[in-house]
Amino acid sequence: MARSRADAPGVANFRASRTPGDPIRDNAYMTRLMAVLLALCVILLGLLLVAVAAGAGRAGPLPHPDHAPMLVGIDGGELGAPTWAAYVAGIAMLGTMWVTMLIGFREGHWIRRAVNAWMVGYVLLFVVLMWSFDAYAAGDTTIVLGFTAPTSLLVYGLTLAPWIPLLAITWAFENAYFGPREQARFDEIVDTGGGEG
Amino acid sequence: MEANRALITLLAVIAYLALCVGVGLWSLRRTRSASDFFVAGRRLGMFVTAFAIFSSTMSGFGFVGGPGLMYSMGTSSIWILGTIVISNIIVLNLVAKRLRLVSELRECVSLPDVAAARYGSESVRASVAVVILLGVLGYLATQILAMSIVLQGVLADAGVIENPSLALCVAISCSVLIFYSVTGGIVASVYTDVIQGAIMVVASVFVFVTVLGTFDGGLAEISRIVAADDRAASGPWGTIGLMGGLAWFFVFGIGVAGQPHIITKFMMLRRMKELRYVIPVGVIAYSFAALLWIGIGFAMRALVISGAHPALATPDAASPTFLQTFTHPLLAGVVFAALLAAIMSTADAFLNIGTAAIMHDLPNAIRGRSLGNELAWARVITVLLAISAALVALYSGDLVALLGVFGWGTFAAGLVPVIAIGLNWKRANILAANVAVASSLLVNFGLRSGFGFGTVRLPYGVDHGAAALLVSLVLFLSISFLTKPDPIDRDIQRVMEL
Repeated sequence: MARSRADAPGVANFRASRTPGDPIRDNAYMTRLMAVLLALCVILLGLLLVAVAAGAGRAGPLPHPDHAPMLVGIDGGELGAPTWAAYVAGIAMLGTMWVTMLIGFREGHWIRRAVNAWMVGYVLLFVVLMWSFDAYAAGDTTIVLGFTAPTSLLVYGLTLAPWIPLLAITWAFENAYFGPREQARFDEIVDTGGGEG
Repeated sequence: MEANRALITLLAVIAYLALCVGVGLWSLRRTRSASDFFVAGRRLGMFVTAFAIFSSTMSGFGFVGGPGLMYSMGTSSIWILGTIVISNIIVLNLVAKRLRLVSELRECVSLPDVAAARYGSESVRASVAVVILLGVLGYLATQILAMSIVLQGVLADAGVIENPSLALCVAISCSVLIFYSVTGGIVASVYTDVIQGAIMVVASVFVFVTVLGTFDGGLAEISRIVAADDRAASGPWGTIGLMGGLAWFFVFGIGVAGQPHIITKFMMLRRMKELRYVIPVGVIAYSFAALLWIGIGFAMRALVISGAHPALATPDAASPTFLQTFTHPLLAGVVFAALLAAIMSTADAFLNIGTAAIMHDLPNAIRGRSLGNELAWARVITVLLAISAALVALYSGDLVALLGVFGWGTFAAGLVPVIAIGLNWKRANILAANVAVASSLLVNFGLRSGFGFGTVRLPYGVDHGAAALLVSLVLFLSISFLTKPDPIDRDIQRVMEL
C-alpha cells in the first residue's frame, strides 16, 4: 500500500486509522523506563496519600501581620514537612525527570550515558541545597549573587545546570536525536505508508 | 515627560493594538486553507517557532501573576521558573520530534488528530478534544479578563474615558483579538507572537536594570530586607514551603509537555533539522523574561516591608504598581504594551486550538468527518468561541478563576500521559488513554471544587495539579502494563522508532 504525501488523508477526511493496525513491536528499553517511571510515581503518590491519611501538613503560610495580603512562612519554610520525606520526594521527582530525559535518543548513543552522569550531579546539587537550607534555617544569612545561599543554589544551580545537557543535545543533535539518516527513513515511511520499502 | 506618563502608556498600547491589526491583514493572504489556519501550513522557521512557544508560555501569568506570587509568597515561585531549562529538554525529548513527524505523516492539524493517529481510536480523539476544550474555555476566559483589566487601568489613568466599564474593555480587547485571529488564524497568531516576544524580552531586561537601582546594594539588599522580615520568604522554598515548592517543580517541569498551546507549535515547524535550535532560543528568551517576574515581585515586597511604598491591595498589583511608580514613562508604556502582548499571545493560541477542537476534532470523532468548508467554519467558530469566553469572563463570577487554575493541571494530567508518553511507548493503549483523561478531569476538578464542598487542601501546600498528574500517570502506566496493547498502524510504529 504505497502512499505519498499527495495521497495523505486531507484535513477534512482525516480518520484515526487508515489500516487495521499491526501488533506492536515492543521496545524493551522503553518498557523498562516506563516501569521505573511508574515506580517513582507510585512512591510520590504513596507519600501524598500517607500524609493525607495521617492528617499531616495542614498548616499553611499566614497573612503578614502588617502588610496583608502578603504572606509569611512557618518555621523558615518547611511547613512541618519531615526532612526525610523531602529527600525522598525530591529525589523521586528528579527521577521522573531523568526518565523522561532519556527518551528520544538514538540507541547506544553516548548522550544517554552523559544524561545519566549529569543527573547524578543534579541530584547531588539538590542534596547540597537541602544541606544549605539547614544552615540557613539555623540563622546563616550569607548572600551569594543577590540571593541567600540556598536560594542561590536554586537560581544558579538547579535552574541553570540543565543547560549542560541542553547544549550537549543541541551539539549532538544530528547524531543523537534526528539527523539525515532519520530524515531519510521518515521520507521512506511517508512514501511507503509504513511498509519496509 | 512624567506628567504625560498615562498618555504615553495609552499611546504605546494603541500602537501595539494597531500592529496586531496590521499583522492580521498581512496574514489574511497567507491563510488559504484549514491547514494554514491551524498549523500555519507547516512552514514556520526556527526563530518564529521558538518565539511563538516562548510567548505562548509566558502569558499574562508571567507578567502579572508571577510578580504577584513573588510579592505575596517570596521566593516560592522560583520553583516554577526553575523548570525553564529542564522542562524544555523534556518537551524536546518526549513530544517535539514525534509530534512533528506524526503530524506531517498524517496531515494532522490538531493534538486530537495526533492522538487519533497514534491510538487508531476516535474515542481517544474525542476525550483529548474534550479536555482541551474545557481547559481552553477557562484559560481563554481568564486571559480575556486579564487583558480587559489591563486596558481598563490604562484608559482610566489616561482619562480618555471616564470610569471605563469592564464590558467596554472586554469589547475593545476582544475585537482586536478576534480580528487578527479570524483573518490570519495561527499565522497571525505566531507572527504577533514574535513581535510580542521581542517586546517582552527587551522590556524585561530594562525593567530588571530598574529593579537593581531601587535599593543601594541591588538584589542582595532586597534579599536582606525580605529575609530580615521573614526568613522563609527569602529562603529556597518561600512561604509555600518545601513540599509545595517541589510539587511546583514537578508539575511545571513535566506538565509543560502536555500544554497544547505550547506543544502544537512543534507541528508547525518547517523542517525537522530546525528543531535543533528552537529550544535553546526559546529558553534564552524565557530566561530574560524571568528577570521581570523575579525582579518586580521581590523588589515590591522589599519596598513595602521597608516602608518605601504602602502595602498593595492585591498581589497582582505588584507589576502595574512598580511600572507606574518606579520605571521611566517610556519604559512603562512599552511594558504595558508587552503585558497586553503576553496575554494576547496566549489567548490567540487557545482560541486557535479551541476552534480546532470544536469544528474539526469533535465532528471527526462523532460523525467521522469534519465540517465542510473548514476555513470558513474555523473563522465563524473563532468568533463564537471568543464571544463565549468573553461572556464567561464577564458573568461567571468565581467560575472563571476556578477554570483558569484548572487549565494547567488538567492539561498536564490529561495530555502528558496520553500524548507525551503515548507517542513514545507502544504498550500505551486506548483504555489507559481514556482513563488518564477522565482521571485528570475528575481529580483536578474534584480537588479544586471539592464537588461543591470547597477546595480540598492537600498536605504541606502540595499543588492539586501535581496530585492529578501523579494519579493519571499511575493509572495510565499501570493499565498499559496490565492490559493487552492495541495494534498500531505500521507507519506510526515506524515513526515511533525513529
